[in-house]
Amino acid sequence: MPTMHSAVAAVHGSDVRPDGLATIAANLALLARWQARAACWLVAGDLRTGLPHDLLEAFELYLARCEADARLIVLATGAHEPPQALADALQACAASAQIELHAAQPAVLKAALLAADALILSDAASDPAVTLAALELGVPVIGSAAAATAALTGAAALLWPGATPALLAASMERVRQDARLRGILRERGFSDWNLRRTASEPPA
Amino acid sequence: MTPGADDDYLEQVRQDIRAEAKVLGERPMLARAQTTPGDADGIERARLSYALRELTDPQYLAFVECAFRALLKRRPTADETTGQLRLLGAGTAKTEILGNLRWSGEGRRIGARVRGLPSRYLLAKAARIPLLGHLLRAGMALAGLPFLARQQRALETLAAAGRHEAQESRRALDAGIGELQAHTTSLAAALRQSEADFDTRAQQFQAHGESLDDAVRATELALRRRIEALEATPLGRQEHWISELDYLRQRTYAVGEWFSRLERTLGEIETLTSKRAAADAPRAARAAEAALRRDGARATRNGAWATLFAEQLQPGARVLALASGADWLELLALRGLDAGGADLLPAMDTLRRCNDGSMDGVAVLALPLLARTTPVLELLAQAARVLRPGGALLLADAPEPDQLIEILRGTAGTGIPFDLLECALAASGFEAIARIDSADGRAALLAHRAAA
Repeated sequence: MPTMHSAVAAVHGSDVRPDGLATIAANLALLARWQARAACWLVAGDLRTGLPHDLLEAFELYLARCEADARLIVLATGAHEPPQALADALQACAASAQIELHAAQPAVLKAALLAADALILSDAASDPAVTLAALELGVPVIGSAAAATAALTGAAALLWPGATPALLAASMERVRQDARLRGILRERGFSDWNLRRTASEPPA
Repeated sequence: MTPGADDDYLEQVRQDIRAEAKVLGERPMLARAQTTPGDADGIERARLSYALRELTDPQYLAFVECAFRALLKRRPTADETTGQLRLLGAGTAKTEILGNLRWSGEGRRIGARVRGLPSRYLLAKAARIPLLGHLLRAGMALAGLPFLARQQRALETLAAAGRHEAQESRRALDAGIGELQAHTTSLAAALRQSEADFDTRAQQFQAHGESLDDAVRATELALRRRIEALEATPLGRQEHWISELDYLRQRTYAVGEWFSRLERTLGEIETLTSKRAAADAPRAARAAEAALRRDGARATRNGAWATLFAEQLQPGARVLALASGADWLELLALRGLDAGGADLLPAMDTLRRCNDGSMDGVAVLALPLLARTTPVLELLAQAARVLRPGGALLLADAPEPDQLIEILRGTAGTGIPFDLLECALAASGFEAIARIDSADGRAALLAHRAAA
């Protein structure tokens, strides 16, 4: 089982304190911008060449059929600057006006997690550290089952084996509309994260 | 909520989502969100990619404003603007200013990308190294000589254009100032005149006020004397009331006379109106006749309606024809119907006088003619009463003679929407309602009274 500390530190290096994102200040300018009425979805991962196809399709389907003014925050982990190829690929896609790309610096990640309706995992776009951070902050996690093992999220995520864009889009819509579902996922995320933190603490 | 219940709920949610996913693609497409170029303050906060020329093309204040908006996603403060303008004035390259902003702490947090900026910024910074920088600047200046010469020519043209524009502006300004001075002079004269007028008016008001004051005082004095005189004599009070009663009586007579005159005047107006209407009637009738002669479609239209109407009834059926010309009765008679009509004025009275279920058919050719004096629902109720069960009712909006006359005299009824009339028929106990509009577009309806 990956521990919270090791996973977060693996991505963010020494910037992140051992107790995770809870004590790090969010980038308030970004948070103010993202906390609007329209849905805000978050994707994070080591994305070098572009957003995975299924995820992009799911977001475009969501825009076209569920909520036209939703936004997608893409956080590129593993580098101080987002890769140029990723930026170009996002710029070229049809929904580019509603996609925002940033490097996953701690303050940015914290702002994104606080603003996001859910973290979306896809086979090619997932990051264990960000997933754990989402659980820590009570952000619902949805997406492909192959992107996060049960050991990582437990039952705290809404995961689909062989997730299609339509399934992802429908999940996004349900999470956005269903307060009870969000509550269950949040509670399970908190308890899962607490269990993990206890396990990761050094023995007295 | 227990974990078991949560699990059940999650399972239900999963099923819902699977079902929703299957039909998601069939939902109507939403209109694309308006992707405005910026927020309300014009700053494109979501945009993080720029071409270098976008930021270097603006000049002076616009350059500083644009650079801050693009790289720091905010407007510069007054101090920042002054500082950046001072740098520009000192000959600092725009790329260096842009680089300073982009790689400031604030700029790094925002992380905007400007294509081509990193290399230029590096060069600009390298040019600041003491000896190497001097050589580098010299080399760059040498390499840029042809470009500089072209830019100088362009600047000369721009400067000349600027001078010309400034001269034009100055001329326009001088003209404006001259006009303003003329206005000011005339305004001052008008003001002086107004002041003089005002003084005159004020004196007049004062004089009027004084005379009014005198009049009030005189009246008050006279009243007081009268009261004193009345109170002085024992019979004074009684005489006073008698005189007041006389006064009231006189007033009452005057009012009665006034009412009497008013009645006479109204009578005269009525007589005149009638005379005028009587004088108009022949002209209206002549005009209506002329219009009928010009209505080439009338014979075909009425003939077709008469045929359709007759097809609904047995030969010899009794039909009441209202609001139609005499020729309509002939058309019905030719088709074997026992048709009787009514003159214009007693049309509704004729209908009201008919016994219940006494008619096989009722035909109203110029429906608006009746509708101007009788509510349509009442007309339909009367028709339903008069018709036997299964009897036929024809309603049309035809320009029959009397209708034309009423139009000319300005007393025609308003048009009736026949769609609404269909509904009214259905609500009034008619069935088999059918539109039988004529070929020239005149609306008509055929309906049957429902069987009891």
